[in-house]
Amino acid sequence: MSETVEADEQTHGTGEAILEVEGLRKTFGGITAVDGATFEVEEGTVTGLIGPNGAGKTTTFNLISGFYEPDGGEVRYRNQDLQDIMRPSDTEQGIWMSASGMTFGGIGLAAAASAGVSTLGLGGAALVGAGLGAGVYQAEEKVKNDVLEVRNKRPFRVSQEGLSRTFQLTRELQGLTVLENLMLAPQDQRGESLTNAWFRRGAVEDEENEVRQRAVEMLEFLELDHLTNEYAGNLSGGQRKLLELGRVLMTDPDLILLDEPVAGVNPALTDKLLQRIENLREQGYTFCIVEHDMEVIMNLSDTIIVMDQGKKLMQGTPEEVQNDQRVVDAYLGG
Amino acid sequence: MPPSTGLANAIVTGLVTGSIVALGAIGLALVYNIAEVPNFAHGELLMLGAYMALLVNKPATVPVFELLTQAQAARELTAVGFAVLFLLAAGSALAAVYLLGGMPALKGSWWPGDPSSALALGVHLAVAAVLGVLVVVGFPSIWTGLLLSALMLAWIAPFLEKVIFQKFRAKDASLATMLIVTLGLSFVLRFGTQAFYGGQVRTYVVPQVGSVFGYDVGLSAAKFFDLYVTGSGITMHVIDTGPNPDQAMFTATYSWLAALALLAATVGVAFAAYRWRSGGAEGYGTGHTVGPKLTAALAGIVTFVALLFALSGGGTVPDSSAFSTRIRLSLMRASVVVIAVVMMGLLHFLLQETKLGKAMRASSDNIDLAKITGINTDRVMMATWIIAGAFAAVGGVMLGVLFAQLTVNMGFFLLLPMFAGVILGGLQSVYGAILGSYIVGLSMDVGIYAIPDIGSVYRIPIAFAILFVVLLVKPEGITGG
Amino acid sequence: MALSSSLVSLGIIVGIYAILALGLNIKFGYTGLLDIGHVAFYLTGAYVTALLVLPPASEQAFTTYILGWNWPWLPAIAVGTLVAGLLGMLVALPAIRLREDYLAIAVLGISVILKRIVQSEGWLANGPGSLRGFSQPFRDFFPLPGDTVQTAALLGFVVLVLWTVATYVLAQVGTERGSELAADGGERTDGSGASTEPRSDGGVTRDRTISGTPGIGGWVVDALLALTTLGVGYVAARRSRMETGETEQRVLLGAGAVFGLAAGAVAWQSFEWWSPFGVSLDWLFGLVVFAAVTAGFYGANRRYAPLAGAITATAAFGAALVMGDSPMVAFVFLSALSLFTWVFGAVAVARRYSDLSGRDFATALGLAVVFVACFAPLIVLGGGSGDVMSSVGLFVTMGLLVAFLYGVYYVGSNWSRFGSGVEFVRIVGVGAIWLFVIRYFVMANIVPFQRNGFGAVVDNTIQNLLWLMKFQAGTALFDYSRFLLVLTLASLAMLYYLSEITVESPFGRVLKAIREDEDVATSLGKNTFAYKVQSMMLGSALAGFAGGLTAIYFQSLVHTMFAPRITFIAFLALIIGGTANNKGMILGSTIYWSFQKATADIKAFFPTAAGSSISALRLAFIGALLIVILYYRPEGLWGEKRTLAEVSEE
Ligand SMILES: Nc1ncnc2c1ncn2[C@@H]1O[C@H](COP(=O)(O)OP(=O)(O)OP(=O)(O)O)[C@@H](O)[C@H]1O
Ligand SMILES: [Mg+2]
Repeated sequence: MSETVEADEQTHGTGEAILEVEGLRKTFGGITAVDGATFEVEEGTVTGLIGPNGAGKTTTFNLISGFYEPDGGEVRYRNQDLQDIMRPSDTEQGIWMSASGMTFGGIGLAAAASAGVSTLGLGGAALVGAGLGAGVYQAEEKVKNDVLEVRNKRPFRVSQEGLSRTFQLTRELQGLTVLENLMLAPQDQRGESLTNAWFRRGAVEDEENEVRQRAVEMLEFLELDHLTNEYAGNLSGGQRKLLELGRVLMTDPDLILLDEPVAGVNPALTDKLLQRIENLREQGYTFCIVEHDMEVIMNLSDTIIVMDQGKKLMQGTPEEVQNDQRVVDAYLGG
Repeated sequence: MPPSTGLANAIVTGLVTGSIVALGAIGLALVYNIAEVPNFAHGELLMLGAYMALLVNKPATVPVFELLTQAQAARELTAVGFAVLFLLAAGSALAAVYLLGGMPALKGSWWPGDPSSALALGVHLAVAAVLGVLVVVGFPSIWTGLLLSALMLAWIAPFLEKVIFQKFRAKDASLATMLIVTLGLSFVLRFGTQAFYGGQVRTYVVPQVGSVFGYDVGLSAAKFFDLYVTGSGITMHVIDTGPNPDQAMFTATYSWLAALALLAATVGVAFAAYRWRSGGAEGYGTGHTVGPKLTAALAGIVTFVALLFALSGGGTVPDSSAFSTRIRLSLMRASVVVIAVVMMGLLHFLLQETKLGKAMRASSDNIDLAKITGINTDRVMMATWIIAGAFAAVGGVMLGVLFAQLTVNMGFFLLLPMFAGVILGGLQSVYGAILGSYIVGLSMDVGIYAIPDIGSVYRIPIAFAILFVVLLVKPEGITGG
Repeated sequence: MALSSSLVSLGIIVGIYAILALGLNIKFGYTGLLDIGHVAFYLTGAYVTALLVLPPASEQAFTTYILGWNWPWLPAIAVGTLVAGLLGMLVALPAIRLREDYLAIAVLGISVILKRIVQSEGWLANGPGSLRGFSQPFRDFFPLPGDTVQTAALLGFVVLVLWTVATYVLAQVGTERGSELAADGGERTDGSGASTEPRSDGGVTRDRTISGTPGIGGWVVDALLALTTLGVGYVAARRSRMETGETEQRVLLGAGAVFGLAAGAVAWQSFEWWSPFGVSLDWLFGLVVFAAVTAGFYGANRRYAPLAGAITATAAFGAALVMGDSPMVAFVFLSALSLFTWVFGAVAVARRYSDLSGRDFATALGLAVVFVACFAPLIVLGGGSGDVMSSVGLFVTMGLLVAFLYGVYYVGSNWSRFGSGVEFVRIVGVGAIWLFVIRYFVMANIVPFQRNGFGAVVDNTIQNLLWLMKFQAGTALFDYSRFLLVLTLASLAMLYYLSEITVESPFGRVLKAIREDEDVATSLGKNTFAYKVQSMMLGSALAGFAGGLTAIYFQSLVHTMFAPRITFIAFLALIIGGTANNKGMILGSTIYWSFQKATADIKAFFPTAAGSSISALRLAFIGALLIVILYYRPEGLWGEKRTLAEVSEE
């Protein structure tokens, strides 16, 4: 896989849209950061997202990954509304309901006890309270969903579904070592459940060894292996970018949103990373990349979306984008 | 049969409570916003203020200082004692200014314009001396105690900033660290005070009777305001419980028509005032200080009180009434509200009219931006602490007066209501904090009244319950966006 | 009375607070949840336990409370722990979404309110009065030895705990010079027979001593260690450092199960207490013991440690049964272990400070001696009597102390000029150990010497050395407070272990990630909310357990015991020891309570009228200490424990 871009005319992708964004809007006070952006990302491609500073690219990423609640519009990932993905699962609703029931039950119990009724009465009061609590929770959920249309903000669900993102301003976990940063990332680790961590130590240990092995390999690839046991807080800016990239790859996502992944990374390593991204694309991963380095983005992308002032300015192949007058205006006119 | 106290009384009590909470909450909010210290030791500042007033009010109960009292009369000081008081008051004033910005501040660097340093220094010294003399002359009144403790706290609070919080800020301490530091500080202050004063409960000597325009008026004795609603109108009957037996002071009957007119006139005047101020708002220079809302409120109150007297027809207490209620209020309690309101007025003026106040507001919005735009944020920070300290001292003394006893825990118990007020008000502005505090104060007292079978030990839990609900439903507070 | 008794009560309270701090550490140290209302859960655990244990209120005069179900302690504490954990969850569910400062206020509020409720609701737990009238567990069987099966079983239990712990720590000691005592938790490396080589953290090979000292000295120390663990502990510890094969593991497990069964049977037969609904549920107790012991064997990585405990315990049980009332058995086992603690303590200190030169030790000794000397005026001129001379003594001492503190501060801040490259804090640490030695072995002998001369000194020293025994009227007994100590320390050891495996697991990693940056954890697909709730539950449950122990220890509960200052003390212990360092929690609460104890000693010199002022001053001092530590050493004395991966480089 050492084709250059020019030779890279063969089309990638399955033709299926993995991500659809429609009329997305987000305002901060008076500023409209994203203003009705509409676009699609095709599965198995690298989609570039460019635009002048403040065009709303990062905000769009935050909306897609569920970190911000949109003021309007919708995002569909694998034909599923992001809101549906982020809706609380049944178990969680169950926990909330029982908590609500427990609280009310406790109050009922206390009230009955202070009124000095018999044991039977106590039990009855507790039961009534519990029922009341459960009911209250159900009603509240109903109101929230149907009447208020409260938006769910549970971005971890999005990541669990295979849509992962990096942060433009790196956010490494400073007090964890580099290795721990990476080992944190894989999904559904057994030892993340407390019962397993306590009672199935052997199985957890085996999985830990496996994860550690993967993390070490990733560190070797990123050329960070000499920093394995260093605290992430002691890394340089470029190293942090790499760590962040490694971390998101460790989650084994399908769609990866990269916000300026190579800003501050040295050219040789940048080439290697781009190579890796191309490799991953061949394996079926999908990327959406924000990058200000035009050479990088033109070489890498199958499609490029240009944003300006919160709107999509145009979408097209790298050639089309390069030759478009509006794009030039947007960049020069600022 | 005399009427019993009811909702109206709870509301009035709530206003008094709210005033004290507000005095604390103002400082808490300012410090929270500008110095970014979630000050869990703020209650201790109130406590400290309350104990400082003892220096003047009951010097014989202050360890060490008691040596300077005259043996025969507990509330008489020796000459040395007076000298110490003078020095404390004057020195505090100077220390506060010094903390504002070091020697340059004493030489007038914080004054508007560019005054000559000799002049500024002279004025500072003169003012300090006047304050000292005031404290000496006013001894041993509780009001003088109030002045002294406000002066003391006006340097103690910024001093704490200087020796503790500034150091931690320089080390980029996290919010959690700051919070734990304030917890530690609250221990130091609370138990340091206890170690010094010992464990006993203290009390103030509060004058029972004061002279107002030559008349003797009971200050701490409750006045009963009985309201009777009858078919023909409303009767107000004021009783003074000071003398024995109780003495009726004032009886007034308002016919329904008069009551209606009173209400209509009040609302009308307030509304007119509002229109008047907001109408000319464009290009209106001082429109901010006395804004439309404030004007309306002031005009409304003035009208209300004026008409209250003007429309009162003499009358007698009706034999039977459809509804009657009693409000207990003493001059002392009323003065708590008045003092609080006056202090808030001063703060309002400071914030809106002075350069310092504008700088404070800017810093409160965004301290980094303020720094970039050339505001002396260090001075702003110190000013914040000075204000916070002075207000806390006043609040503390008022608290001591109100509950008639001082304990080292008194401030800690007020901490939750204060935080409740601040968060309720949205954490962003002092005005929110004031509003929040009154809401908290009212709901504590009205809650105790309204919830059956609930003892007054649950006042703070009620405040907290409100806070919790606000946190859950609208964590950005009632005024927050 | 020998000083060892006050050491014992110190140990109990340290254990309780260490558990409390462990809970807080999970919440704050690892997850970053600023729970300044931790005491609420402590209170819950204490009251729930007590209310379950108490007899019905109708059987007592002048007290009212709910429940009163006459439960035995074990289920009561379990339920208390559980309720505290559930309360933690209930509090967390709404509160945890809040900003960290709001969360702090919310939980503080909850703790204040809970205390208020307990204080003012008379029907709940006797309101403002104290809740008392419950008996301590197994109280009637003490002092040991006795001639019943129960007392033999209790002795067996005590021996089991002591030997297991002793063997475990022996097996943990690193062997490299300068390596810290138990440098790594030791939990990570030992999978179920994963690696085939001896562990790199110091498996003992033939010529290596456990004590790590080279040459003859090392062997002498090792012999002492062997002697004082009656051989069993030492051998097991050495064996435990070697690689254990699959079959061996299985044999060990089997042995554990058999011992568990035996222990369960003995417990069932010996203690009949629980018949709630007219049905005797003692078999349930036996089952619990069986399950607990077996699980202990299964869960422990170094199975030789519980095995050593089991063997010794069986021996002790059998011997006690045979010998009946004779104090010999208890004396042999417990004195041996008392001596072991001294030997081991000395080795541990020597190793931890192995990089310090003789001069450093001397400096530290000098510090300690000067500190003690500061009190000379007070002692010589007399104190507490309130006359002129004692006042003078008081003031001179105060002045000296201030001068001493300033001197320490001065030397400390200019340490680079005087010092030998060793951190000053460590010198102070050695100084504190010297201080302990002086207090325990020198000053404690002054009074006996004055009274009865040199013979009394020897006598007293021996009694203090054999601190696990209480010497009374010519015999040596194992009294109830010592049993409580063993109980507390056993709980602490278990909960420490539990905390360690929790925070070292992937679960703990997520907690740490949340502490560092919640958004990142979220972006990696972790349901941070669920983790925070679990962290709150776990931490609160630990606090609840500490509460249950408190109920046992104090035998009476009153609302003032649960003031917000308890949370504060827990925070202090946490910050002194080192945030996110479980071992630090033990250190922190040891330091705090030693300080309390020491100042309580000093208080005796002051006029009683000043007593309340001194107590207050103490708390004020602690507040100041917290600020100073946060400023000069925010990571605490031991800092966050670092987990280093040993990545095999091929
Ligand atoms: N949290 C926020 N609060 C207020 N305004 C914001 C916030 N985040 C973004 N904005 C505003 O929204 C606009 C778009 O910002 P965004 O970060 O999305 O731009 P961008 O395209 O990523 O720019 P860059 O290329 O510089 O990274 C900007 O004007 C910015 O000021
Ligand atoms: Mg961006």
